[in-house]
Amino acid sequence: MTIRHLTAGGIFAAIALFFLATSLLTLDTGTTLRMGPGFMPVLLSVLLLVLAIAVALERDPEQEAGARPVPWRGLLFITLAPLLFAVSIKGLGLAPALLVLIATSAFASRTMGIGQAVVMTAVMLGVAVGVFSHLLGLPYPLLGPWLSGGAG
Amino acid sequence: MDVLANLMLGFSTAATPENLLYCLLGTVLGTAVGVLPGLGPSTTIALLLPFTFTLGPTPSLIMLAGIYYGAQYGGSTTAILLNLPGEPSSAVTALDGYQMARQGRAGHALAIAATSSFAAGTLATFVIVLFAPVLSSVALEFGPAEYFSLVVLGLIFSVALAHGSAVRALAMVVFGLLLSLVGNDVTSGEPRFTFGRLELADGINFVTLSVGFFGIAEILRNLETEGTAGIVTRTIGRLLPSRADLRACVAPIARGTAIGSLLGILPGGGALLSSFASYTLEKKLSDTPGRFGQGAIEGVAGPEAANNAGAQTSFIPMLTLGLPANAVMAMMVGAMVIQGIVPGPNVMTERPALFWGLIASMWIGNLMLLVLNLPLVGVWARLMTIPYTWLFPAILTFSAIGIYSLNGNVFDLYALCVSGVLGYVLLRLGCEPAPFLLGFVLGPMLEEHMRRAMLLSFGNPAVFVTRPISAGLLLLALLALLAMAFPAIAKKRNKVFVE
Repeated sequence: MTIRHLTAGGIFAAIALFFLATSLLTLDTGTTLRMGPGFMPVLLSVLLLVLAIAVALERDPEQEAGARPVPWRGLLFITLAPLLFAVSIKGLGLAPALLVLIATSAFASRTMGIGQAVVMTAVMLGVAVGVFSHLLGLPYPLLGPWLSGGAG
Repeated sequence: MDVLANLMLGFSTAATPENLLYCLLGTVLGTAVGVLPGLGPSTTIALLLPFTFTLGPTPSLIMLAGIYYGAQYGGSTTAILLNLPGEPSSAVTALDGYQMARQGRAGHALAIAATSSFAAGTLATFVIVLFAPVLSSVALEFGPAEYFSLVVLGLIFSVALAHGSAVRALAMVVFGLLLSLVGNDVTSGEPRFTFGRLELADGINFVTLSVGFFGIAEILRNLETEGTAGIVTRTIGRLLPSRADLRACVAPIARGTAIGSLLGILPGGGALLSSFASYTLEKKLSDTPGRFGQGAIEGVAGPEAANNAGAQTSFIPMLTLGLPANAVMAMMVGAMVIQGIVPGPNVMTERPALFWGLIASMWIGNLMLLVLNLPLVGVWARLMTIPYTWLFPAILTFSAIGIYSLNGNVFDLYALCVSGVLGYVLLRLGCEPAPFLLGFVLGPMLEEHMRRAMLLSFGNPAVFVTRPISAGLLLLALLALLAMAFPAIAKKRNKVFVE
């Protein structure tokens, strides 16, 4: 039993308990003859709970995957980029949303400098607008209602 | 309908200009993305999946299949030139392929990889033509109880043959099954786990999960080892292998094809297990086993043939039973569902043009790979030198736009972030995403058949063990579970995957 196993088991247990509680509170389990919408969820979440305990207690023959560093910076920027894209696509339009997405994700790498990021963002933005808007003809306006002066 | 008529129908479907174009597009795109370091076939398909939905069912499946074997070929190219296999199945190719490249024989390795893939692909296509109808007609006799047990067996097998911890893989399967229940219940129409969000009424989007678990999580994993990329072998050398080389490879290719065709049908293992098995076999049979790992051409030919044959025959359970054998097939099943096709034995009888057209297109696609890729190898090698700092903004752009274009729905993008981070955390904890995706895709099928079986048996759960075929399937699943629990076998299983 290691911290790694406990964490994995803990995650599965949390998921199982969440589904179990929700289905017991909101769904009808029914009978074996007429299974209600809650039957399968209860069955599966109990199963997952058992497996979560097994995962936590497991004796692992393989070695721990070494102390590979967690890419905190990457984790932050890679998650932030699609979020900012999601927030801006409706209002600002495709081009600004892509700009935000590419520029943000550029900084996920530890090796990226400002100058390089600017060049890359410019190139990728051009390519992306060309491919998605012109070549594939996606039906999203390049500039959204917030920018084009419309009332939205 | 006999074999010949089926093949005729298939080729006349696959050879229309539209389908040929998408087949070509798929193989080229698949190879181009597949050669990028760190991107295996599952990631490639996940990323390109959203863009195929605007096509009709037949061209989109033909294109997806093309992306699959294109990506696999691309992965082998990266394994040979860069010693960076995108997916475990091409890890074996890297063993001797990269050594050959270091000795200046990269061209030979690439050419033999392409040739053996093509030979295996051709033979495996015939295996599909011969066996798919048989399996399909057997499956048509199955009732809900048998189908339920079959899905259980498939899921258990996929765990038994996957690498890594079996317990964690099982937990991932059940997690996938649970998540597939989100959305309105098909039978009662009652919303489950939606918390009043309309976006969740149709369930969690499987494309979002695929891209999150296979795209975003992969980027994050690659960022861990940032800055330690391999060095691309610049000299490709002569492409055409010598006569002696070719002769040495005929038997390994034949054996690899046989192993791959057989193991590819099994759920879970497919390409991965077959390439390992072929490598081990060739090393055992060789007069000079010491050469393996030092650049033995048989060590490239056998596994590559097995790899491709396995990839090809893994379509059999997917097409005839609706049972995906690996993550890629799970994505294919998901794509079919989105296109309005119910995967299962009925596909062959109800949509013969799609079924046989897809199979014929696999052979055509393999031919395209052979003809196109050897001349283009210089281009692929250059693609490999794209720095990773450029790659992941591109991947992220593709993911975000692809997901957004599905429904024009911002909610899906939030779901993408969540599943990406969750996928990465689980990956770090040694929980592979493939069993999760299989569970997610098979969940609705499992529940539906279980409900129907119980209804037919008047609520008696014994139905699953009193019907002989169902009982047999469950017994097999139980045996596989027990085998995993036995320390001796478990140890051996781990050894196979570590080697």
